[in-house]
Amino acid sequence: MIKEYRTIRQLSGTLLTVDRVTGVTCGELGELLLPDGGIRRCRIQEITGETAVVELLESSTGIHPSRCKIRFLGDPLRLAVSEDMLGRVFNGLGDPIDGAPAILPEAYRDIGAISINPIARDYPARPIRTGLSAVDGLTPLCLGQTLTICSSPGLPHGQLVSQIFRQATLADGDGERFAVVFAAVGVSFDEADFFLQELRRAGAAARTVSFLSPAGDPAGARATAFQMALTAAEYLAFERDMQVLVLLTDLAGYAEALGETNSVAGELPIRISSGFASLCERAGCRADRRGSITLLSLLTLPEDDRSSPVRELAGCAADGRLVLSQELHRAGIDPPVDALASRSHVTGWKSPLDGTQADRAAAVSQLLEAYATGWERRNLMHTLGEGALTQTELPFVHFADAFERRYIAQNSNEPRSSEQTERLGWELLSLLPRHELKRLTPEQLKRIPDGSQESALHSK
Amino acid sequence: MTSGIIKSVSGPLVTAGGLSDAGIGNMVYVGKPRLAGEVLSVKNDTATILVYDNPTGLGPGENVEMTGAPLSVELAPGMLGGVFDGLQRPLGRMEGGKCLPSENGGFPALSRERAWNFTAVASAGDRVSGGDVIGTVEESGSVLHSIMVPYGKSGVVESIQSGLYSVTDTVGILRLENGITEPLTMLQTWPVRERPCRRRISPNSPLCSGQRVIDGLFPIAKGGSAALCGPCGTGKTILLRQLAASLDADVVVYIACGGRSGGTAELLRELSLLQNPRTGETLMSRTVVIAGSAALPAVLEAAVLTGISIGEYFRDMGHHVTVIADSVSHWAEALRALSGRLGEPSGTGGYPAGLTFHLAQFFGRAGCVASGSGAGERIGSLTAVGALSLPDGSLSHPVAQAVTRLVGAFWVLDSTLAFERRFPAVQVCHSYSRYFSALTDWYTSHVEHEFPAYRERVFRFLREEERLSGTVRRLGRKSLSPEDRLTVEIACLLRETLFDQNAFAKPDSCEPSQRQLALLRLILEYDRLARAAVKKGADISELLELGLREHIGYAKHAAAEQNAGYSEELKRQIQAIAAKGGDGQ
Repeated sequence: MIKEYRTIRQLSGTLLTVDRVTGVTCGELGELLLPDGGIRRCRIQEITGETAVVELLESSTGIHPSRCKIRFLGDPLRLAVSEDMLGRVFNGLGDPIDGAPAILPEAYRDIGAISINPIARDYPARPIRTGLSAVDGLTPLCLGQTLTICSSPGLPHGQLVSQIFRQATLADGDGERFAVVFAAVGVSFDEADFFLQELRRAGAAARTVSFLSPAGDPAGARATAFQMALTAAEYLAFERDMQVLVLLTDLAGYAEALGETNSVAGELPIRISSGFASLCERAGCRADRRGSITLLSLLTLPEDDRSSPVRELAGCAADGRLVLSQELHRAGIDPPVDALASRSHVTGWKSPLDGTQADRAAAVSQLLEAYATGWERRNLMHTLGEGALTQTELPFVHFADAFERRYIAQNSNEPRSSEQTERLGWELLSLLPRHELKRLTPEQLKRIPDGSQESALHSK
Repeated sequence: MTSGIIKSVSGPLVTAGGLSDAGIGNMVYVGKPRLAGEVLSVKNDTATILVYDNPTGLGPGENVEMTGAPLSVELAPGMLGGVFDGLQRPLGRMEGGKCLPSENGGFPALSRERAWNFTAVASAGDRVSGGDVIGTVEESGSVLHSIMVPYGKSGVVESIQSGLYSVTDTVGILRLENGITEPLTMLQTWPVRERPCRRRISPNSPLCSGQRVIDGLFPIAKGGSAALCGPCGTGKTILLRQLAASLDADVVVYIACGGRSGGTAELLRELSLLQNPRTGETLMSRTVVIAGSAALPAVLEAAVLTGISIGEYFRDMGHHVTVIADSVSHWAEALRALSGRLGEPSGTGGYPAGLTFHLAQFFGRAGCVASGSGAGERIGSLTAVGALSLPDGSLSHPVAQAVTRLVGAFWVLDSTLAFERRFPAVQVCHSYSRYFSALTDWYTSHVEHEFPAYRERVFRFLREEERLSGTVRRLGRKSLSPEDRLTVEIACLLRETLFDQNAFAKPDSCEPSQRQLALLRLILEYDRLARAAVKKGADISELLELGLREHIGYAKHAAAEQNAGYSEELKRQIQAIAAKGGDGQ
């Protein structure tokens, strides 16, 4: 028999104080019973003696503390999992919101983070071909990797992500099953719907599990939606052997939700780092499982806010980041990927590198160094005119322009194979005098096509 | 053992009554799941406990079990090659490039079954005291594990036998000063917060890192401490991983706390595949990895202390140990969150007022130490290297400020360099090393008599470049005087050819000092000749666009003996231009 309490002393914001509570534990799920028969879920935050501080996970409007009852269910918040989740849409607490009936659960999973034992982790080594040169060539994405996409409001990050979803293939796929888990936290309905539409367009709707907790949801529900998503992904990847691609949007909304729940509990900020890290620690490949979780998370912050701790923490927790730039967007480069600020810790390469991999790595390093030089010199040229540059500096400016227009920019329906991307890289290097290419060995320099290519590049 | 009852649970902090004899720092097991925790404060009979594991599921009324002992590490053969969590619970081992996750996932830290070949060094009748070696175990081919008398014990060895033993087997009997006999085992348990040392010595030899910019400009001494500071994405973890692989230390303890989850897996994979060039064994066999999860911030501090305590134990054997912590700033974050909950006085930025004191528990425990007595005296060192991940790499950040007071070498990583993929992205102007003066003798006798002078010249170029960089950025290189243009060019060359090291390409990543010097001489020679030519009126553009730099760029890839040829070629071409410049006048 579950005890029901009528001892709610206080309700402030989303926090309830309940007296004379016995036999409950921290993190336990509860239900607030309204006089009209409605039920709102809540969770125990803190217990002192017989007084429990309970966080409401749903709306607090219309609650009269003295007229409500509360009961505790003995378990922490859990998610009902089964393969039926595919194709369905849930809210931040794991209830279906697509109008269809509840799923038949195969099991209930604790949503709390249990990170993968680092020993049992497998190194992400199977590249995902996205068809985008800026990703495949410069910041490769591998199965089981975590990647943060740093963007600003108004940039076409949605298009970029949906392009990745549309075009992604495994270089060495062998009939594995794929699934997508999508979670939107703290965004508007329209933005969440855009992604759902795009997934439908990509033909992935039936293989997608979605969790939506828009900006209007209480902080508690917003803070759990990402954990729900990873719980679903863990089930599909590690118990159903699927290759799962998880997309979380938006980390800034998640950080906000974490901040709100922390501050109402009267604690000091920021355990955001631990929040982000525990999300990332649940993604990856495991040596003892066939499936994997690849985690893409979107973070939109105003671009000039480079010192934001959220950006720092999100960057540190993930295996790589892809940065979109306002400046390139204005210049009409689409997708506006800032190749210099983006990076990937996972290369899909073995170290030490074999011959062709070493060549490719050197070419990428040389491309980026030359681009950085050209980028700086171009800024100078814009203020002072071409006359301020020496004869050795001018080719770098041309190179930077060509690199942006030909390599970074890409039509949204024109995927490039990784061979095309690589060839393009070598071709672009032919715009520069050989002796300036100090990152390449004499043997590698021979791979650059002859200068006749230059004119071809300029004409395009 | 006494036990108490939980009164309240708030996040990782638990208060429990009935614990009047609890001591600060004591380990306790909390609740039905027996979660590990540490006593932070005691008031009357109520203790405040920090629970290390996830506290979900704890409630009032549950038991708190006292152990009576402070947070401790188990020290015995079996640590090398192992991977532990922050409380030294084994996560598994890396063997032959394969991971063997640990089955039980809990205590004990070190296997009680595995047998070790113990060779007695002391003999019956010997008078021994804490820190003296009584026997050895060949734990791996390169590391001889000395079994020492625990600190605080002294007496006469009654009996001792070599043979195959597990770590808890009795290998001998010690008669203490007060006449009581006590069994000697290989295993000793020691609190993580302090370890005595017999005598400290000032460090006087460098720890070769294999990173040219560190070894050449900002060296660290064996027994010194260093911090690596930079914003995210500047290659801190990659650099630390390279250090873990290429340092000339006997034992490396790598504390991976709060960083990327995949990073630890990569580290393990790399260390278990790569060979130690000096011993031929895998690097993993000299390494202990402590992997703290960022999802459990409370464990971070324990992870750092566990790691450094294991390091000190190997140091006392006379080994040169390096303890690497990635990252210290996550630990500082955890301290901040904790002190806020405890209501401690807070200093700048909400960090505890005693932040420097806390951080000294890591950096301050580095040192060169003599242990053992009499003829058994041995000198070991512990070098502490920690990474700081700070928003925008701000050096005025309270954590950076506290750390600069503690470390002798400070390496600043710069995002502009990282954007250009110049790795290691060590920025020369803000980085420093206080060890160079102590190491000058070593450099002049082991590397090159002229080394300090060379280093000074390199610094001069880089400082000049920094001074001119504003002008270059605003007005372009063309606006500089010919001499200044040459300076900027040379500084560029120095950075490109000497300090950039590709982490992936093999021949470049671990360089012997002689090769660095040959390159350095080549560049300085270029400068001398070109400067003289400019003075004589040679055209600077012609000098720079000659393609000479190409030669130096190639010299980086070429074998050392070829460099002499390049040097000759260089001289000839510059003289040709100088002669032309002379004609022009």
